[in-house]
Amino acid sequence: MLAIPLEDHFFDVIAKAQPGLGLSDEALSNRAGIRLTTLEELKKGQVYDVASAKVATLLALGGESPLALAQAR
Amino acid sequence: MFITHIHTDHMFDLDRLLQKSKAQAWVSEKEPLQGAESFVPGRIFHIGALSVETRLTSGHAVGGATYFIRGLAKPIAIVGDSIFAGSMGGGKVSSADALRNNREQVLTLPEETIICPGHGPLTTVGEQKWANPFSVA
Repeated sequence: MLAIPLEDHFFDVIAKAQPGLGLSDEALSNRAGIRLTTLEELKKGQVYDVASAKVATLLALGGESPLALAQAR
Repeated sequence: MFITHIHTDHMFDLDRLLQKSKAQAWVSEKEPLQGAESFVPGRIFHIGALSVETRLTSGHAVGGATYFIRGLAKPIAIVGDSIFAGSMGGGKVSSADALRNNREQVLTLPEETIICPGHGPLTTVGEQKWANPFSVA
């Protein structure tokens, strides 16, 4: 049976959660304690476990699922 | 024919479908559409042994609707772009409404309910309660 892939990757989830909180990239990276360039790379699909976890926490993305999403590439 | 919302990718070729099938189309009153009858969310349709309960899941779309169907082996929720397996539709209208409606109108359904999103794979309410990053606060 043909498996349908997940619609969204972690970077899609960031893109959907971030506007809801009204956070700019600069504000999000500052509050998460990561470099702006790291955030920009996350949003392009790069996976950094620690940075992903920090961003997920800031965006109120729960559980371990954001990391699982980030790693499921 | 039940329309979840009137974004083009969810009603493309509706006119031809209606013409060929002679079916009645239904859409939320918050997104009136020529050729479709409107309903007030909360209305329950009965089709043979099936019941179709309409729920307002706006946020991605102004009149986003979820259709909760009972009468099959397992309950089914046709959610459009309200929620996906592991994600949700973008809050184009209101992120806050989208989040709240998903939590109150979808994730409160029985855990065995099969969620049929407009994009991506099928999932269940039980699975999304722990696997969806937007549902786990």
